[in-house]
Amino acid sequence: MSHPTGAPSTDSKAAEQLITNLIAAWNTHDLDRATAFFAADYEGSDVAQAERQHGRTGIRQSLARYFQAIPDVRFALADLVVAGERAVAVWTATGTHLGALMNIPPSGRTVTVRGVSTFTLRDGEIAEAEHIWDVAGMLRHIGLLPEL
Amino acid sequence: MSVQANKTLARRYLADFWNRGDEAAINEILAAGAVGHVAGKAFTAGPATLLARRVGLLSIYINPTFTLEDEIAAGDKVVIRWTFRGAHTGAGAGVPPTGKEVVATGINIFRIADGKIAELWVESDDLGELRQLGVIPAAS
Repeated sequence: MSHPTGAPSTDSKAAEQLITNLIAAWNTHDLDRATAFFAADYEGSDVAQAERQHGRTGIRQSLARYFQAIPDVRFALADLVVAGERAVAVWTATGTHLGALMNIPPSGRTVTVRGVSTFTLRDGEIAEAEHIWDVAGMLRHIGLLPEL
Repeated sequence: MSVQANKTLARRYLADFWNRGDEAAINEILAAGAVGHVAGKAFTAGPATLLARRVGLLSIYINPTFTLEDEIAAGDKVVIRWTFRGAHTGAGAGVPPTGKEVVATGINIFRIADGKIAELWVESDDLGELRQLGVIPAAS
């Protein structure tokens, strides 16, 4: 199915730009802007969430949870690997744990976590994504797990 | 090296080394001075180190198996997502074995240079694994 505006299907350069723009949108903490990148039939997973995310509602809910837990979160892209419509973003996220996250009451601590997200793009949108990030590392920052 | 050849290195890393313990294979595909990045720490991750790590894995699990779920490769990088399964029958994790199957997911990123894996990064569900092993309490 072609993109409604007639835009060409994704190639590596466009994919790179899309993911870079996505990270920038995450940093605005604007849920509308962040969600716009995702397809209506988006399917995703997050290592810290038992349920998969379905559609724009699903990814919106997932992002909303993180933004309310770490309201000043700042994402930085450490690496980006793109092959056609497949992309991998390696990122770090830093912020202050000011809201409840995963049933952990706000600790007020600064946390920095690393994560890797794999994406499947389709017609200029994110159709699928899997997010694996360092939850244990975050718990160590909060002081809930011993240092390695 | 071609992207296809790079992908083969990544596949062999899982299938030949981690699943079958093939010592000749890991010496072929991994540089002696390869650098590894796990849990935010960098360390020398050459064949000798990884062989020792595999021995450690076998002290915890019977028949540990990594299944390749996804691969993305471009330039000198290969990314693989895998699912790990192993029966927790050994005491190597410092806790009594549960006897149950542990399942965990993870992603490896490899940088290939001179025909070998020169650098690797691992991001995996450590928390999930530690919980299933009983090293830390299950989610409340």
